[in-house]
Amino acid sequence: MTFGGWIPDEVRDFSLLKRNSGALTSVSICAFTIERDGSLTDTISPVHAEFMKWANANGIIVWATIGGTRRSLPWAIQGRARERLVKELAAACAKYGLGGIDVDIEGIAGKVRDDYTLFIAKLVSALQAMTPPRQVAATVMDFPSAEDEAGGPFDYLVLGLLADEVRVMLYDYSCDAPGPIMPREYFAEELAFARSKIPKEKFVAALPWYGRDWCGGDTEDLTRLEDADPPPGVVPEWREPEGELSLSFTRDGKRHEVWLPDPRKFAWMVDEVRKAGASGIYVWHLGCASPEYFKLVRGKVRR
Amino acid sequence: MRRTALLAAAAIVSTALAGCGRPMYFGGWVSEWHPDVSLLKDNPRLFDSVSFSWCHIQADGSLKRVAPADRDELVKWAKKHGIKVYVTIGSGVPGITGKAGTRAVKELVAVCEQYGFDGVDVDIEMLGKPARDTYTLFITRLAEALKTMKTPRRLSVTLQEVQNEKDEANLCSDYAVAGRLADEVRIMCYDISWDEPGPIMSREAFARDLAFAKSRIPADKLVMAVPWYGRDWNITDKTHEDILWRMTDARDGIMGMDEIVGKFGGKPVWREPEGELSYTYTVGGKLHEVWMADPRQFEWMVDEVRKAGVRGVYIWQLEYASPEFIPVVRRKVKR
Repeated sequence: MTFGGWIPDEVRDFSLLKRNSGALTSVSICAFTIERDGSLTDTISPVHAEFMKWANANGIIVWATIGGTRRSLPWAIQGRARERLVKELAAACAKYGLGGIDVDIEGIAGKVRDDYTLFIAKLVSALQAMTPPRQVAATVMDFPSAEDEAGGPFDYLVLGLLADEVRVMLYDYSCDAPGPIMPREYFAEELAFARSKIPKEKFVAALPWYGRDWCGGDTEDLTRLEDADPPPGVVPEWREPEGELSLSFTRDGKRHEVWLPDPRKFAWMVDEVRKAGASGIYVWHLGCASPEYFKLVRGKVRR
Repeated sequence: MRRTALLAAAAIVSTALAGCGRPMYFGGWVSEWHPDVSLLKDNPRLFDSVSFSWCHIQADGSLKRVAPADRDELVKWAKKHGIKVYVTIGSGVPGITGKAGTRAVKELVAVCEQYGFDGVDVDIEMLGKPARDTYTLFITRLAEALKTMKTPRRLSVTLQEVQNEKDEANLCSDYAVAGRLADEVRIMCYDISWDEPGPIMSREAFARDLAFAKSRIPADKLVMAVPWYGRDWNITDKTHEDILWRMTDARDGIMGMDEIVGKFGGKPVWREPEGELSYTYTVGGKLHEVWMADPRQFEWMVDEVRKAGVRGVYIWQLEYASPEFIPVVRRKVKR
């Protein structure tokens, strides 16, 4: 299977990725934001630019991931703004030597389904006309069933026809209340539904390399156990049937419940994805990478 | 010198190989105006599919059905011979917009179920750029509806020929998007001369059409639609009408090419660089110029299609075609 991951804007240390270049098929740089009028802004730093150059030189496809905010969406994918955005994205591909654009537009309502579909169609057309042609990935929310998908902005089947890749984000099962990032049962349902709509050669399962700490009404995403800073003696516990590592503790009078990123979880997810049939795996995010994760990527994903 | 000789030899081998290969996909349209299916019925083994223009989407999205009385028998006959049956549909903008478009999609699914069609061929022409979003959403919905039927059906999209990106931008259809959504994309490689007499499709235009289409549409989905018809221009009156080889004035109200040449004598002339047959005659003091697709033109077109490595060829139109096309189909398309 192919393997790649997103690189959030704040990640600046690429040394581990460079040491594991053979495991990576592509990377997606999250340093592009779309504005309400369809213009594109980027925060590509010299460090990013150097990494992108290195990736291209090492045969790793560099994608630009674009997202938006409540200020810019859905307007940026409608009408004239959409036409402008498509043009600016094609220009960005040429400017930065990008292999494609990954559309990771979240938080839009089901009523803009047609706008989103048209935006993907126009982007596909514009990028395919480039020399060399560039690719389009659609990164979409996870759904366990057709009923859930029908009310949302993402039409899996149509995106599976239009886009070169459809990355289904199989995480964030628990948001408001503490719980697993993605339990086994729900994962299996979502995987099966995605595969029923998206052709195998275009389906990319996006998996979590992050964890989350719930404390009162607040949440904080974690890269590793140390980020939770548990008191001495508090150790994580493997939880079934969720198939995930978690721990809880009280610090400064506040109760923390933490569900952790963990290679063991990644391993069973990769096994399930391979069984379901997918062209590749993507991870959110590569800033959480560890040597243990890469060992699994080499042994289970890229074998 | 030696290098030159080697290159020349390589070119010969390459040309020979380009002419080899598997049988290509082959099919044709039967229009609602001249439902002559004799050529199809006499040669069932040559056909992979046939498309009947039996439906038209009306402004409210309902389907106007214009099928002949022997529709069911024809579909049954085609299936018996392993020939896929498409229903070809046309429409204006209102019929594919909003609720009307939703209704049209539902009705098309229903006719596929009811009559056992294997697919829908969308042949919506002349809408222009302003209708692009409407058209895209319509074929998106239709693709989805056909794919989710209990027995999934195929979507064919028939598109006007263009030779470059600039011309394509003025169409309602986007080649690349159609290439993603449809199972097969048919490019209508004809009609380059309309108001003034000229070839139905010249070598030069055909090469450009093929190259542009191939740059946008996956080769395994790309089908080049080629002419088996001609056009008779009345130069004096500045009018024209389409003709077929075996039409007759008595039966069809229009003389076909065989009848015209038989009546007015002389011989059609092969024209280069167009690579097409033309013929002039005078009747009632009015000068006519005819350009006509013939087996020789069809042969060079098929050669180009095979060299390009795309899926196959489709014929507009099968009715009253010259039987002399058939040996070319056997020898060049289906070998």
